[in-house]
Amino acid sequence: MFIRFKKNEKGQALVETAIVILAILVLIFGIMQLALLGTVMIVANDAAYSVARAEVVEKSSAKAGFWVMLPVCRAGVMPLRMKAASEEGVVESKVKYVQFLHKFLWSPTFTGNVTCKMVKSPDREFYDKSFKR
Amino acid sequence: MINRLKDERGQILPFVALTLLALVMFWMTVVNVGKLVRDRIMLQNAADAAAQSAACMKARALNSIGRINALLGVPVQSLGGIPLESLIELVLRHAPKTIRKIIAFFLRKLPFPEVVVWWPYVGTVLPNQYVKSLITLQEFYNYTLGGVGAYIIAYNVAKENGADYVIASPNIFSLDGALDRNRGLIVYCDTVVIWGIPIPIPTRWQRGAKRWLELKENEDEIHNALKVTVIAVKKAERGFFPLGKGLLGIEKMPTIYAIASARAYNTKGPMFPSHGRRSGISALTEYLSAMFGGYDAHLIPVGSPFEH
Repeated sequence: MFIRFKKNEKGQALVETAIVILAILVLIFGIMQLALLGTVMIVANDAAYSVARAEVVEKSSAKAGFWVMLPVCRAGVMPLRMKAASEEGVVESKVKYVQFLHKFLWSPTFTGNVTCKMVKSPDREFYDKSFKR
Repeated sequence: MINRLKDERGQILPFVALTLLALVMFWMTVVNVGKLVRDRIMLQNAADAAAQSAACMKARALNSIGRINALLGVPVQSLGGIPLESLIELVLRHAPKTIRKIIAFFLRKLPFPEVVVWWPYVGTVLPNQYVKSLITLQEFYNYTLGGVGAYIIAYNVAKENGADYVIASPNIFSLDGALDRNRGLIVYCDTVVIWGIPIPIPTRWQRGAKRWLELKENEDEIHNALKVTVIAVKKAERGFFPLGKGLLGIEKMPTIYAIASARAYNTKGPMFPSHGRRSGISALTEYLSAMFGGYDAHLIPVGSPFEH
């Protein structure tokens, strides 16, 4: 009995591969998911920039970020909050979004917060700095 | 033969290759998107800076022109000139407004000299030459600072910030869209001094002569003329990017455009008299009221649905 068990190694590789592949697949898809996360974060940064600029330019910045986020919205991203607040000549915009991930990962969603700061033009100090260089 | 069939090395190789391919493609996508976004933000900053600089130039031109305009208004009305409206205001101060308006309407029908140029102490410069030189100076500022200069500044600033070239709205080249030249009668006088009192003697009556600058009637027209719109363009570059041309099926990076608008504005007033004023004193009063504000430049919305 023992001898027969010892000698039969035919399915060993298959089982080993199945176990290893599970781990490797999680790793690979995790890396892919990380790339997607990075891409969306870059786009969200762009959106935050747009929101800040819209706040500087025309003081109503709801749509500006939405138009930037629109292409990635099809890839499972939902912008939650885009707003900008200005104090003492500095505009700070905040973009909050949710990205839906694959189910097999620990957390099915990723919530990202991106901020962008921009100086309002009529600030005297800003003029001095930018012209001196 | 059997040994070779039993050799299981290299089995994992295609799997690893495919996996690596997929991972590399993802990495390339991230890098390409990052490059795109970086270029867009940089170019938007370039367009902003260019528009702001051009509008700043226009603001400087407007400040200079406005000051000269006040000079044109002051001597023109100095002593001999009789602004009819203000005279009626003085004489019939307590009369009802309708009566004043009716009298002013009938007085305006008379061929009365609206503007008399007379400086008792000018000396060597003839009055008409003085007026002509001031007008020439205004045109000079209009086309250098407020026109070509604004475009050159916009181009250089955009180029320094990474744009390849600039498309600007045609009204960047002059302030003619906002300002109009008032035309009317000017009476030039010589001076005779009797017992130390300078007395004007009219020598030349010039009809339809160029006078001070005034604003146009339509406010939208003025707004559009003072608004500078700049499109900064960055052409598709050859070289490293896009990463993975064949792999991702992208031939080249797209040409990037960024648009920005800026406007010269003055919080204290327009600095120029409104359309169709007959008395030149308004050029002075408008300048005095707007003097402490001064023209400044600020980014304004282009007017696109994307809130640029």
